[in-house]
Amino acid sequence: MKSYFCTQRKEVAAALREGRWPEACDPALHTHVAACADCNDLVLVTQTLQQARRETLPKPQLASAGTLWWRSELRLRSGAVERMTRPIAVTENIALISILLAALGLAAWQWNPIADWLFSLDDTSNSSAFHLDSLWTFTSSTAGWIPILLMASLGTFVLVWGLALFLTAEKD
Amino acid sequence: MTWDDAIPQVNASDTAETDTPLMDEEIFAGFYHRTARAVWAYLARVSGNATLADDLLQESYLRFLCATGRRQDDEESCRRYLFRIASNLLRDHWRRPQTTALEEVPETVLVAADNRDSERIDSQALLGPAFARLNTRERQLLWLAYAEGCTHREIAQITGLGAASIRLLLFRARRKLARLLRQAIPGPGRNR
Repeated sequence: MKSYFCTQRKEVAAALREGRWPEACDPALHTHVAACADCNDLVLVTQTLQQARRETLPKPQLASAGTLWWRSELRLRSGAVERMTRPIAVTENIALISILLAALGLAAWQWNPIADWLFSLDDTSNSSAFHLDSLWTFTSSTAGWIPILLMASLGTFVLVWGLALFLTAEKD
Repeated sequence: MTWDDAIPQVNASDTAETDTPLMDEEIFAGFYHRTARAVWAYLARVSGNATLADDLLQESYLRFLCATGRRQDDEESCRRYLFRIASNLLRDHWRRPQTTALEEVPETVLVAADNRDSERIDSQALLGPAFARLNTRERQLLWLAYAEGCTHREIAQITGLGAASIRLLLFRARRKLARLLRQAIPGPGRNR
């Protein structure tokens, strides 16, 4: 099996790294490098890249360390705020889901009175004698309080939800 | 208690364990001045884009400062970690808009994208064109190994490549760059 790697490559690499190449190293190493394609490549590439590094280092216009420090402090702080508000957001979501489930459960439990009320409301609105008084009279009956309660809950929910959305949008 | 009152306390208790910067401001300033130019050179040479290097350099240090659990590391480890962050940012940058593998990014796009930037960093006329014909991974490996003097293990830690594959990848990249450099060197000036 052909070996890709020269056994003296480490020695050449060390000479390059320590700045001993080409003046301060063994002449035998020079002879070897002249004859070995792998080491010759290594010398050429290392010298070129080290020269490029020396030329590149003075070029950047660096931001001040203080600015970076300050920005990192801001980032840490906003991360802390996010972690702090995450449980609140989760709690809000759980509360919202609970309210929705409770409303649906109540609606399912009291479906018959609600359906009766909706049908009678339809009849009332179709009749020529539709007045608020008649609606009040109807809702004052025994089963009428539940739909009113539901409507009030729904109205409150929409209002609070809208307010929450508004506040969130304003915050963003 | 207002939010403004609460937040510093959160920082005080929380950051002591997790988010405390690696070092205090003064030590960081020293570390920054010792390392920033080398990291910039790496980013600029590998990406071929000085403006991008400016941006990624700042982001690298911000992520470094916000990193967790590295309080006890010595400067050399911090430096390696910084190069790793920079490498990840480069990789993320190239992956984000193009959804192609890092090695498949057309080199002409990388280098010709901003001629002004190229002029800014390619003062060495010999290396610029030859480096531009290597792929990003090859440039990354060569720069870390021969410009920064990293060992194979350090390169593996920085790039996320397997340590065993570094030697062969470097060998191929080195041979390719040497061939390109010799093509660029006129006549008797060649090294061999």
